[in-house]
Amino acid sequence: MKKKQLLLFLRTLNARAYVRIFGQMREATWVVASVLGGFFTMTTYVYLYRTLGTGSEFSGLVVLGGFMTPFFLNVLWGVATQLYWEKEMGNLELMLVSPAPLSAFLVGLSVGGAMHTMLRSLAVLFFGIAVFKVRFAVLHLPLALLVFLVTLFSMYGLGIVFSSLFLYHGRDAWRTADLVMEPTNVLSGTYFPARFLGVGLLGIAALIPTTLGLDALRQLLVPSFTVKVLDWRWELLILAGLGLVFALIASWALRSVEYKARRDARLTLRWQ
Amino acid sequence: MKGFLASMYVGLQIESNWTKKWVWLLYLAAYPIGSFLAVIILYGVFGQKTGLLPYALYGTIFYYSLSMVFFDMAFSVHDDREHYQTLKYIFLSSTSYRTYLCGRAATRYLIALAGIVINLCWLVPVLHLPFHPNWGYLLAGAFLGYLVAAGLGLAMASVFLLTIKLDVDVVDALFGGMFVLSGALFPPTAFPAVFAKIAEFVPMSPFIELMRRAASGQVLTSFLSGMSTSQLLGRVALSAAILFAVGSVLVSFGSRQAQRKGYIDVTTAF
Repeated sequence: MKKKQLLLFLRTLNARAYVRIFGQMREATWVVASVLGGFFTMTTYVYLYRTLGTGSEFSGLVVLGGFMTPFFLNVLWGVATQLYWEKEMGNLELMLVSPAPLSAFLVGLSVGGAMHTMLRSLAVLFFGIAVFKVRFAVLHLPLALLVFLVTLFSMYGLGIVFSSLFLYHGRDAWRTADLVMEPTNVLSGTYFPARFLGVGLLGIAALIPTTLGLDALRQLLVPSFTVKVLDWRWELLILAGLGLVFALIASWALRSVEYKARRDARLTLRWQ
Repeated sequence: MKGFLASMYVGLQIESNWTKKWVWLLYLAAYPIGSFLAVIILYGVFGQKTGLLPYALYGTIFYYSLSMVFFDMAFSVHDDREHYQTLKYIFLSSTSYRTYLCGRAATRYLIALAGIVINLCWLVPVLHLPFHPNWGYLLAGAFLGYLVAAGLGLAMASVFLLTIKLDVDVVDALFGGMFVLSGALFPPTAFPAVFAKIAEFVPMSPFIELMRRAASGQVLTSFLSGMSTSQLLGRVALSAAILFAVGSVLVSFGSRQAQRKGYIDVTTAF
């Protein structure tokens, strides 16, 4: 990549990330509502576990799941569906005639999305710790941060892969995202240890980066957590591998789907 | 009535014309699974001895049917105004906006109920759920449940009419809170005493308990067990009447104010 191209990529990334970070802060109700929504979901599962009479360590698992859920939702609705929404609002054609690469828009969207979601996730985590008196081990905090960042890299890579599909498809892809959102969230072990899924379902769930990422985080932050899927080191390696694979697929898919969408005149096709 | 039926038809088209009919039927059957998948896994792994699976499963699926109505009503304001940019034309038509919202949501409710029926056909035999339906209570409960959810949905729609940047996350948060308190997933007796008492007065609680009893033919836990099924029906009817009346007044007020403030055709692209 030439210096000029790299500069353009970085400028585009910065511009898109800026809008995502600061635009989302302008309306206080958005932040409050998303934090409250995450908190209520977490509360539901904490009390459910209390009803079931499981150990207190399950509250810690649920709080960590609640911390990761906003990222999962941001990947699905803020990255994967974004090109679809840009198309519906009429911005996509402007983006495509500009010299800025489409991939830079999406990477910027991911970086900005991850940063603004971080604030909400930290708020959910804070409330979870404060209200449910959950304690985490901080001995491995730097390693946990590394696992978290690799998980985000992998998750947002998957989001960019799906954004290509959304670029070509319309309401059918949106409906599909709506359909798979809850089952995917459940299968990734957000609110229970993923090992209980059994080998078959776990094999599918492992393709969702949140599954192994959460399992590794639980091993590092919840000392009494014993029902792990794999050792966290292996999970970190798999997540890094998944992230790279998703990045490669995303780069290829974006080019080929953009070409196909141009050829089939679907880039400006709205409300379909 | 003509306007209501036309709105139901519009709702059906919005819900189904994005794909082939047979794909949509599969979608209709698969969609509710997300609402109860966690219940099956969690109660299957950790809660087999508690015997609460039927309680949680019936509770979750009937809450899901209500959530479809109020989410659809609130979201359709945003969808019609921002996305399809048709809200101004709906206001220009001879059908009142309340009728339009009710018609669209009625379709969504019927679709949700159809999905529930399809899934109960396999859930009942596979999970050995108690199923001794009282059809009278089920039908009356389903109708009144629609009015409860529509009342809340109309109230939310009025808020959305008067705000142009409000995100649907607000609806998620509000009804997420009600989901916790309504005792859909677990008996609210698990809460501290104050919240357990509040849970009895959440509008969805009596509806969900009524439908549980009407479907299973049993009183599954001590939650609201002091009330007979007919008393529950009476309470749901009272909630439905109050909420629908309040929702109707609010959405009429919201419609007038939104027209006055010029919020009908504002697009923000947020």
